[in-house]
Amino acid sequence: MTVFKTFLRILNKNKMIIMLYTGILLGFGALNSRTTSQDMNFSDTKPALAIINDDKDGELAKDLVRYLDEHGELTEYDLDLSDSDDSKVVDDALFYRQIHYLVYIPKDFTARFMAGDDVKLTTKSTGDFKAELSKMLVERYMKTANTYKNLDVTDAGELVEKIDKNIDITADATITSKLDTEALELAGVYFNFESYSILACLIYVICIVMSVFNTKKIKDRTNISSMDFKKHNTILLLCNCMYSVVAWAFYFAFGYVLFGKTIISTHGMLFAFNSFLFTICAATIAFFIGSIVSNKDAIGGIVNVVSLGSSFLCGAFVPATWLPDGVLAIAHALPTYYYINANDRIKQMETFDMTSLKPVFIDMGIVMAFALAFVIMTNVVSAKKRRA
Amino acid sequence: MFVHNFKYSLKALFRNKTLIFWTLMFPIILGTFFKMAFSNVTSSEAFKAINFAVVEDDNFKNDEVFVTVIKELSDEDGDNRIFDTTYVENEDEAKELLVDGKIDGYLVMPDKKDDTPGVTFINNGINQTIIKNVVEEIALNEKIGNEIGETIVKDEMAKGNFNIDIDGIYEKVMEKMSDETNLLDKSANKLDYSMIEFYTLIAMTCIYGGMLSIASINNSLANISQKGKRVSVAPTRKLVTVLSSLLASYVIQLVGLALLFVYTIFALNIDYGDNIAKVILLGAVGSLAGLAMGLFVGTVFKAGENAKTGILIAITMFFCNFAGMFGITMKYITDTKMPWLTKINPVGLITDGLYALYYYNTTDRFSADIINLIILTLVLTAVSFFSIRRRRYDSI
Repeated sequence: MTVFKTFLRILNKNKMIIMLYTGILLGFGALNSRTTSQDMNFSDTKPALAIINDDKDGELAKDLVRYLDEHGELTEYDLDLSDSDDSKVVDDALFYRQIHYLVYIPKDFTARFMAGDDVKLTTKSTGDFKAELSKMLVERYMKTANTYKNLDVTDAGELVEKIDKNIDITADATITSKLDTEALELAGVYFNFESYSILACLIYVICIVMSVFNTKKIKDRTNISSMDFKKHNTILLLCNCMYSVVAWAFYFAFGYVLFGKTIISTHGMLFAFNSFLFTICAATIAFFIGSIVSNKDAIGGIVNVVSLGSSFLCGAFVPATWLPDGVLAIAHALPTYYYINANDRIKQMETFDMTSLKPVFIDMGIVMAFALAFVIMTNVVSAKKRRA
Repeated sequence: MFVHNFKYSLKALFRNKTLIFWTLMFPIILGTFFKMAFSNVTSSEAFKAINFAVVEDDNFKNDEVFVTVIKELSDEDGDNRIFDTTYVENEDEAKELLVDGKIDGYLVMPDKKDDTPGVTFINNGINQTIIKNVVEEIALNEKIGNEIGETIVKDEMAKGNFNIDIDGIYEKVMEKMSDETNLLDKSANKLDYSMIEFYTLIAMTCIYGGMLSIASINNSLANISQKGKRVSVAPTRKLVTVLSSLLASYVIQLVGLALLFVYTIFALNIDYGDNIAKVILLGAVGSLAGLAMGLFVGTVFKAGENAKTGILIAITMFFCNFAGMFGITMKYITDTKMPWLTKINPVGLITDGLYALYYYNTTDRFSADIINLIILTLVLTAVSFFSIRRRRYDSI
């Protein structure tokens, strides 16, 4: 009981740090959770684009705005692009990807277009997929307008009528997946990020606890006390395990609050099982670090380097598919990579048969092999220390 | 006395391994992680040809418009490339590619010519929407082309010409079908938003420098450290000891920042724009703001050194969040919805100054950021000095 009480006291003393790492995960999870509703029909992705219309009365301009509003998330700005402060508003929005494409319709655009002048719509693009889609929408509209004008349509009203009548041909789109892919994607992101919080919280607490119990004065006192050395160590081990399981359960429960029924499903259970195995592995890493580091001041630095390093390298913060090959090659030497790899496989699973589950189980097995390796290394290190 | 204390403060700070780790080493390590994680982000998001399959059955082969346009849009050397197209013999093959994740979607042409073409995907998404849009556009052009063709034939027949020249009509249709889009592209070429991460890192390092001023100010405070008691009873003016200690911490801060700049520029290829003198000015003023921040935390909060450092880290991380370190959208929201927060956020001001130098040709925004930083530094320093001046202890 004395050991357990001391453990709780240390935990209480460091509650701010634990709350910080947990808070980061909760904040991140909450920011990323949004209600998703996947129906079985295809729905277009609407790109965020902006328009500045200086030809407010022009029929063609008005119709272009209407068309873009229908097919995208349109923001209409009332700005003067020649003014430096005004143009910064759109430039900032483009840089921070709040909009992906900007279309500027100049004054008298409709009239000049109908008169056959070479009049241009000025555009600014972020060059990504959403920008490309926005550009396609504008191009489709303008090509159609030009074609009908070539067919000797001289009145803007008639031109707009012809465009509207024809432009919305829709292809017959079907989607085959029965999964709520968006919700699973978000849950996957949450569980990937969880690897950071678990590693940071576990390494920090377990290292602090071990360094306190390993302080020379305290260690000497424990050694001469009537308490059995083995019993002391077992209680300490159980305390750390209990803490790890509580942390894991808390993160899982929060995942349930955020993602609800997505978590209470076979996918969710696999996510939970995977994160449980990773928690065990993280605890063994923490024990290993705790056994080699005795300097309390160094723990903060080590926690950050290990947890941030493995999270950045293995794809906990940035999707693994975006990481350069060289980084992924290094990541293969870290358990977090296999944990995240398993999560990424789970979220895409359509069926749960042996063929689809096998690669996930292999990843889980590798995580457990890492855990075993850390246990062995910890034993070797502490045996050496005892002899020394 | 000033030089003597300056020299020993410098030595004492350099020997504090924890401090040196956090102010000099940690930013370099974090920068390396950032580079590893973010170096591909912008190129991953840049538009690339979408993997796509076409069921090449008779329905497709007989539709000349689709055959020609898809071939053109898939041409590796063409300017208009949108698709990386695989042609398959039947729908089952296409389905297999789809399930294996090799393609984002596939096209099946309808049996009846007037029906709309069918596209199949696994789920919703941007690539899928682009595929659908392109297919729709081809169908639209086909429909308009047919319409024009029919009109021309009718006109010819009305003129009494029943001898229809197919090639001539095709040419006339192509003449009318326009490729003109009336677009003038004025996109900026510097749009790499992952730079913001590195700018927040520079800003974080400036403010983390406050740890050094906390450590040196603690050495002068009689109620915090044993050294402080000794310094307080020494027959020197407090201003001299405090200023010389702070100068020592500022020098270390600048050394750390210089190392980080050199490392990020030469090893990580970070782009700070063309005006390197202004970048250095911003770094120097930013470090001063960090020093003032540390001074403020060190004097206003009555706590031990570790607690004060903890408070400084917490404040810095809080500011880092609003400056966009954990997602650039947060910076945009703060700048547009809560501009007052950016004005009192030293991390935000330094980040914004670097962003302004990178993205804009004008310096008005940069100047505003520098002025705000200087005001912030002066206010924090004034509060700190009022808090420690004329402090006397009868017993402690």
